[in-house]
Amino acid sequence: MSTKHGLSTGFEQLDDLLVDGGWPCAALVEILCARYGVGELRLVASALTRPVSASQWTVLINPPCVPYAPAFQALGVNVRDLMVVHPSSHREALWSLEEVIESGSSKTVLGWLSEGDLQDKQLRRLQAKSKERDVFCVLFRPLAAERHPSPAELRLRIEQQTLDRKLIVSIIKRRGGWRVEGLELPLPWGPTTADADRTHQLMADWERTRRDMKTALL
Amino acid sequence: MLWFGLYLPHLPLEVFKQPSSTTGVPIVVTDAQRVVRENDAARAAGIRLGASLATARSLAPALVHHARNREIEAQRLERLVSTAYAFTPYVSVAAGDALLLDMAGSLKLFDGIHKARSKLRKKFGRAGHRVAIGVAHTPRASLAFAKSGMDVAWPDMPDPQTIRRITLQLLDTTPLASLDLAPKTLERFVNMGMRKVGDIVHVPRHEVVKRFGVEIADCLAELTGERMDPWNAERPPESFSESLHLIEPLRGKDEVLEPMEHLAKLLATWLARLNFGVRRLSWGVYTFDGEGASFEVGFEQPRHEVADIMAITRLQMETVDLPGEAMTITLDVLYAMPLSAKWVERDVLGQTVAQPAPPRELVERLSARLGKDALQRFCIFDDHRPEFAWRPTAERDAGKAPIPVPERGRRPLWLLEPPMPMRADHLRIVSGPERIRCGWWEQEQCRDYFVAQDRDATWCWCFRDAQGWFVHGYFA
Repeated sequence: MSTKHGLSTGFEQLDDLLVDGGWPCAALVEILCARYGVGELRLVASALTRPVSASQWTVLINPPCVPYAPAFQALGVNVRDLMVVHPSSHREALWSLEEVIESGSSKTVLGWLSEGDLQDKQLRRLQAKSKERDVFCVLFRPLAAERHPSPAELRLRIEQQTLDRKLIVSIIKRRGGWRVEGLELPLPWGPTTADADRTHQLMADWERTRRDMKTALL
Repeated sequence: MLWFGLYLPHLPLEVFKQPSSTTGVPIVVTDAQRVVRENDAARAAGIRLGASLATARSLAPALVHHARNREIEAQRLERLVSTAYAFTPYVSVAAGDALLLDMAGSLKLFDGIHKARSKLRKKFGRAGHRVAIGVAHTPRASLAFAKSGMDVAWPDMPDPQTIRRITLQLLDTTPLASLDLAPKTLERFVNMGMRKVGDIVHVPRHEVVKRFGVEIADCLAELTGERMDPWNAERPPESFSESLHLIEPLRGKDEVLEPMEHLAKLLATWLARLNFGVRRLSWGVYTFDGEGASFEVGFEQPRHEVADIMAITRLQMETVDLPGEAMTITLDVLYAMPLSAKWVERDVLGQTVAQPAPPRELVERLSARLGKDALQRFCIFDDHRPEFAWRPTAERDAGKAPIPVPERGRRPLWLLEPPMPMRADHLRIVSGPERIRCGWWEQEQCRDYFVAQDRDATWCWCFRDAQGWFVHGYFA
């Protein structure tokens, strides 16, 4: 549809539920997750890999782990355009976020802020600036943040990654719609139950062989 | 004072691009039907400077001739000025066929006179120009030496006294013909049996004035350095160092910004005159007692506009403690460089084009406030061991060469550095193993990697080695 100008999330199910037909490209988006490493990066992968003009950075501010560049590359991210910022305080992290948004040289910025120091008015500023400067700004926050209302245009909660290549996600807040619980998003890659069974078998065989060899030697 | 006079005797010929097939063909450049410059083949055929075109033709029937084009020569010389800028910021066009370089400041950079000269010759040679280089302590003498080929084995790093002494010695035997005198004057000297500068330079100056006129006396004074040569006046100041003393003390960073902007404007004027951009500068804010603070500001690319300079300065200022009140503000340029054309983008009306800030600018702003180490980019190395397959690089080194990464199965997006030990019964292996064994030449590793679910059902990338199980990353 011509009115939809969002960036496809790469998940048809999710696109259908969003007003823009995908990620709102000029907005603050919150992704709530219990901890890091639960599939939060693959959820926003389409924004990381989106084709942009040569003079754009993808910025990660205060990430919880080391972004493993070869994996980003395999995902389709141009790692040369990837910038990681390590601010020394919440104030500096906020400042860098706003600076990146204001600069006009980045369309995608991901931030991990200190939850204890985060104030409502700071979120409001980020939402306003993202909208004004046409930036897709994602904040990753803990599940507890759900209790507090947020000016973010879209809030998602990651439930879990399952063994059959599914990422379970709930929409907490969206424009033009209600909450949606328990969306099952298919992941392009991941071990399956069959894999797990096979691996278990393999490991068990392995252990048995080792034990047998030990007894034989004794 | 140390001047290099660059004389391009073949410029009239060199501006005409010669196809390589014409080597050996006699070529001349003529001005008003007289030969003003000939190539080697023409000289071999017996053609001399000043010969008429008809004479030249009779000597070499295959002669190619070009009419001299002074306009193109002047344009070429202007272009060569930018070539010479690589050696010193102080370059002037001396005459229709010569350049003057003030090398006093950059001699050290080029390891002395000898190397500087051979580098210049090579660089001009690559541009297709033969150049004779004269060295002296005055501009006029350096040009005379270049034209006459007067030279000695210069010491590599002479002090000003030595340069002066050698110049004066050389001048004694320098032919007067190399001085660019009016033909009539030169003829009078020749008629009097005076052929060398030495013949006239020791004559009492008032006698010279009486017999030959003030111009000749001035010329001699400029040759020997007794009188400042007009080139000096043309030369822009070598460095920028300005200060502002306030009548009333200013309090607070916001108040200080105004006089700082005034200094930045002075700086912009200086930069514009040189066509320079500043890369590093130093601000100082001092109280009446002379106490205070100074801080440096660095730029990713040469900056020449007040707004740009002040924007980065303002960011840097937030990280420094300034004295409570300010009476004196100083601004020194630590490093400036020629502004090459590619840094400045202008539209047809000469306005700087308003564009979204280029990426370097963001880097500049972030690192001005957070420090260089707070920024990181990645290089990917072709190594099987996960720890060695990537390397964070300080921002300034990154992005130089893309290194192709072979597809090697799936890897986690988050990496734990160092790997985290994990109890085996907390992991539920779902896929694997993948053996990664490599790097025996530095730090041998042999690991079996698995994909597992930990107790939170998070997918992790783990390995087992002699010490037990470790989580090395998360499939985020």
